[in-house]
Order: sequence, then structure tokens, then C-alpha cells
Amino acid sequence: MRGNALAAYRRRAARALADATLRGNLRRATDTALAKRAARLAEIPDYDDWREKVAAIRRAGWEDRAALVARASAHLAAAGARVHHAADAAAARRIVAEIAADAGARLVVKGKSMLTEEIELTPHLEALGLEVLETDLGEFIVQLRGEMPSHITAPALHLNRRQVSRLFADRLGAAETEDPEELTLAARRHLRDKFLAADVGISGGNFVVAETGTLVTLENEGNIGLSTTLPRVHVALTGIEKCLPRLADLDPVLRLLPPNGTGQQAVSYVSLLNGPAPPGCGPEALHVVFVDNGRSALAASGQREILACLRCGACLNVCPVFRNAGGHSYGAVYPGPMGILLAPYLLGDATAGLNPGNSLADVCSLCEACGEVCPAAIPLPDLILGARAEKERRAPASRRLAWRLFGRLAASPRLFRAAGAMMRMSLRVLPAFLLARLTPSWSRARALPAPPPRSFRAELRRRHPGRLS
Amino acid sequence: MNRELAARLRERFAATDTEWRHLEDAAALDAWLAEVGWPMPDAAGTPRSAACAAGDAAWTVADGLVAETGTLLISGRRPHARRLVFLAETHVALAAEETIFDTLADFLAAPAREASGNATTNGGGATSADARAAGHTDAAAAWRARVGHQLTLVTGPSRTADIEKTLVLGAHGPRRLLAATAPAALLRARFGADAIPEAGP
Repeated sequence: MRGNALAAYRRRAARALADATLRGNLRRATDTALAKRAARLAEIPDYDDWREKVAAIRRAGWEDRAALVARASAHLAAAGARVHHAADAAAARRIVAEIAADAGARLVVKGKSMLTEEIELTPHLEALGLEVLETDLGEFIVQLRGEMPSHITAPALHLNRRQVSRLFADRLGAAETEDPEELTLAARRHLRDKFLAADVGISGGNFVVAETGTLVTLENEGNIGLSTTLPRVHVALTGIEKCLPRLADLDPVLRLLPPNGTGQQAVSYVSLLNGPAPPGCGPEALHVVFVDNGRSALAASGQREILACLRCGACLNVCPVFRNAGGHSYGAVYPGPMGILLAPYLLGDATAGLNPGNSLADVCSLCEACGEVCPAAIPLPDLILGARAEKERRAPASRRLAWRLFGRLAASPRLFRAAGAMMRMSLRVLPAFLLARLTPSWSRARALPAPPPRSFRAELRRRHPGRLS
Repeated sequence: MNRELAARLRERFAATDTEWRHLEDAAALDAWLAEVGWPMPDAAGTPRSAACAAGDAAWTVADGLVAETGTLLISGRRPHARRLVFLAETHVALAAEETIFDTLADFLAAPAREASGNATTNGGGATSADARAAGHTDAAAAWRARVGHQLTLVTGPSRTADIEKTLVLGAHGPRRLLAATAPAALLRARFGADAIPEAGP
């Protein structure tokens, strides 16, 4: 364990909450995302039926992952793709580094992929002397700033156009402008030659169809398309839980992911790759890397159902904690409700100082909005409560003892009444400064309420004599 | 094309910033090809890729079209097509009226068409026999025979909203997407029998 994750969250969140620009950016972006999502969902008849279908497809994806990955791998290999299996982040990084070395690569272009963020692929390849460029506009922006993405589908959600303009002026020598179109064009010009010069293109894989061995990527910008058609070698990384059993499963999944992710009926480009391109028509080699990296451990935990996650980001946009304190406060590339559950297993001690005993489950306000918006019908609130219980089970002995004592006290009416009386008296007699010291997290922004004259039970008995025995 | 389908397509293509036209006869097709500068109106098959690497426009023939979403289906039957989809400033695509599918599910479930020799040798897809010998299921073999090494679903031009959720067209790929539909017979007469897929919904 690398320090207390919750304490670190609170330090970062306090800074974020004091940053008026950040909070304005977050509020505007998440409001826009939610409004677009609502408009698209209203256009889908029988939405709940589709949601059930998607939930079943994704459940099969992680429950039958061994068989599905094997089937997908066999088809891909038969079509001439090279298939790799990585048990953890280090293995995945090594596999990609070897592919790049074999290709004699110097320049690597990347499409947006949360899995590559998860395994910290870019810093690893850079340390080996490769130039690695993020090509998704949002990822390109955060890479230039030396930050991690603050949102899984909108990496630069925390920034406004003025901040991007200053960044591009400083780093690309672009003219300052507040026109998003001009800013996008500046990035396009900068990256176009890189696509043409790159030796290796790296992408994620939103899904892999097991029935046909088809790698599926979704995007709007065309950067994944360019990254996977122009370089000599294409490497795709995907999680072992991401298989769709049948080709027909694409329809329901593609129906719900774009509306929930970006508020679109359909994204601009969905690529279905069955294998490497014919000679001269695209990359000469296609490598597909299936990554476990904690997914099997997660599948054995009480939070296993989060493996159905589509990575749409709707639970981030709707979460009041995310909307106020932002993604960077989590200190992990998987933020928000889904991140609370994924990060302790997929990012782990090494990268984020997180584990099931040191998770951010307490950051949740239990409003349950995430469970309502999830297109895969994942019971996120239940899973987060489970993660809290898990954390307490792994807590230090002193904390577990304290909870046991409280349990004893709460289970005994006599002890509970006595403790209540003592608390009410303490609130009356202790000086304010001392009370504030004893309740720091409450008193920082609020005054303690005045103590009631009597307990709830006593008050009830007084108003309605005979109601309580 | 019946009026109801035309209205649906018009609505969908407008919503996705696709400039769409339906061409009923040879005169309309010729006028449109001239208007968009189609590179080889008399030749069959693959559009010239060399013109596109440096150029401003790429021309493709789609395998089909999904009406529900206004999505063009560009397959590996024409091996260079996938690059063309992303490279140019403007992407111009033609689709046969007979290959308009209601939903993506309808396209995916459509019966497999026997791959023509041209598609299997140039398209990079394994032949059914090869695929079976390699242990493929019929579903996988049929899918590869239909689309070759890839299928790209194109819905509107390239776009981004990464800066303040403001929509900008032409992020890395084409800024404009022009799509035209026409009767298959018209397209076959113009581009050769092999250019247009035979099976529709």
C-alpha cells in the first residue's frame, strides 16, 4: 500500500474544488454530455429491452472469457494475425516493445485506448527511445500537458478553449485562437505527417467478435483509421473480457454505446478488422494482444460484474462527485463510479497505490445515479457498497475492532441510549474549538448543529404516548 | 426509391452531415460524377489510389448502406478502400439502391454471397474452402467471404468534440462526406459487373 488513497483523493479534490475555472469547465462539459445523451435515448424505442440484451451479451463476454478469447484467437491466427496473451501490464508492455523493436520502429502513432493508459505503455516505449504520439485530439492535448486523461471518453474535458489555445501556441507555435475549429486544424496539420511517417500504429479494441475473430474499434476523428492503415505494423490491445460471442451482437452494442458515450446515434467510424490487409493495401502485420492484468482477480471478487463495462463514461458524467471534483482527483486513469471498482484491480498498487483494501469506495455519495444510466445495467451502487465492505474487511485490526465495538453498542438498546445521552451532553458542554478539532472533516465547511434536548425515541414517546413500548 | 425511404435517408444523412443524392437515371449519374470529379467514369473497379494520396478527394463504392443510421459499409472487397476512407479531405461514396439495409442487424444476417474470384484474390479474404481447412466455422468463413479482411462503417465525416464539447468536422479524416445512391443496374453499366455487390436485403 502506497499511502492512504482516500486521504490523497481528499487533498487533490480540495485543490480541484478551489479551482473555479476547472469547476466551470467540468460543469459545462458534463451538462452538455448528459443533455445529448438524453436526447438520443429519447429516440430509441424499447430502450430497456436493448439494455437487457447488451447486459446479457457483456455478461457472457466476461463469464465465458476463456472460451471466447480462444475462439477469437483461432480465427484471427487463421487469417494471418499474430495473437498474444499478456498476464499483466509488464508482459503486455514487453510484447509491444518487442514488436516495435522487430519492426525497427522509431515513430509510433496511437489511437485512444484506456487499456494502453492502464498499462502505462507510452512512458515505457518512450524510455526505450521511441517517439510515441497520441493522435486523438483530447489525448494529444493531455499528452502535450504531461497529464493523464481526466475522462475515459473525453480526455481533455477539464480544459477550455483558452487553455488549449495557450498550449498549442507554446508547444506547436500555433497562432492563438479561441475557435475550436482552428485549434482542431492546428492539431490535424501537426499530426498528418506523423501518420504518414509512423512505423507502428497502436490501437485499443472496443470489442472482439469471437464467432468471426473480428477486432472492433469505434471512433469519430479518423485517427484510429489512419493509425491502423498507414504504418507497416498495427498492434491492437484489448482486455480478455471484451469479446462478443456472435457477430449479431454488434447491432445491440453499437445501438447503445454511442448514445451513452458521446450522445450520438452512431460514431463516424466503426472498423471491423478480420485480419491483416492484403499486401500493399495496409499494414503488413496485425498483432492482437489480449491482456488480463487483474481481470481474472476481479472476476473472482465481489465486484466482478463491473467487467461488463463498455467504457462509455456515462456514469462519470452523471456522478455528482466526478462533476465537482473532476477525474484527476482520483489519481487513476479510471475515475468515477466505474473507476472506483476497476482501478484497485487493473491499476493496482504499482501504478495508482490502489488495492481492494485501499480503494476510493468511500468517495461515492451513494446517490445511485450511475446505476440508472449504465447501458450494460451494471448494479454500480451495489458493487460500490460491496467494495466498501471489502475495504473494511481488509482494514487494520484497530479499525475492525472499533467497528466491532460500535456494532455491540448499536445492538444493545441500553448501551445505545447511554451513548446518545453522553453525546448530547458533550455537544452542550464542550467548547466549540474543541468540538471542531474532534470533527475536522465536518467542521471545515459547516457548523455543528445544536444538540437536540432529548433522543428521538424520547421525543416520540413525549408526542405520542403509548406508541413505543 | 419509394418516397418513405427517401425521406428517411434524407433525415439521417442531414443529421450526420452527409451530403446525399439519389440518382435515378444515367443522365443524373453522369451529371453527379462530373460534379464531384469522379476520376475514371469509364473504367471498372477500384478507384485510383495514387490520385488520393496527394489529392483532395477519395472515391469509393460501398457494399451497402444502413438506412436507420445513414451508415455506408465499405468492405475489403476493394482492398485499398479502407485507406481511402480516412485519407482524403473529401470522401465520395456510391451505393446501389438494392443494397440498402434497414438496420445493421439486417446486413449482418444477410445470406452469404459466393465470393467472386476477384474479391477473394484482391480482397485478402480467405476462400470458404481455405477457411474450412483452417478450422473456421461456416459463420467466420462466410463473413470473410462477404467482406474480405475488413469492413468499415462510415457515418458522416470525421468529427471531434474534444474542445469544450464543440462539434468540429474534419478532425483527422475527411471534412466532407458525399454519398449517392443509384439503381444497381445503372452502376454496373457504368463501373462494371463486379463493382456492385449482388445481394441485397
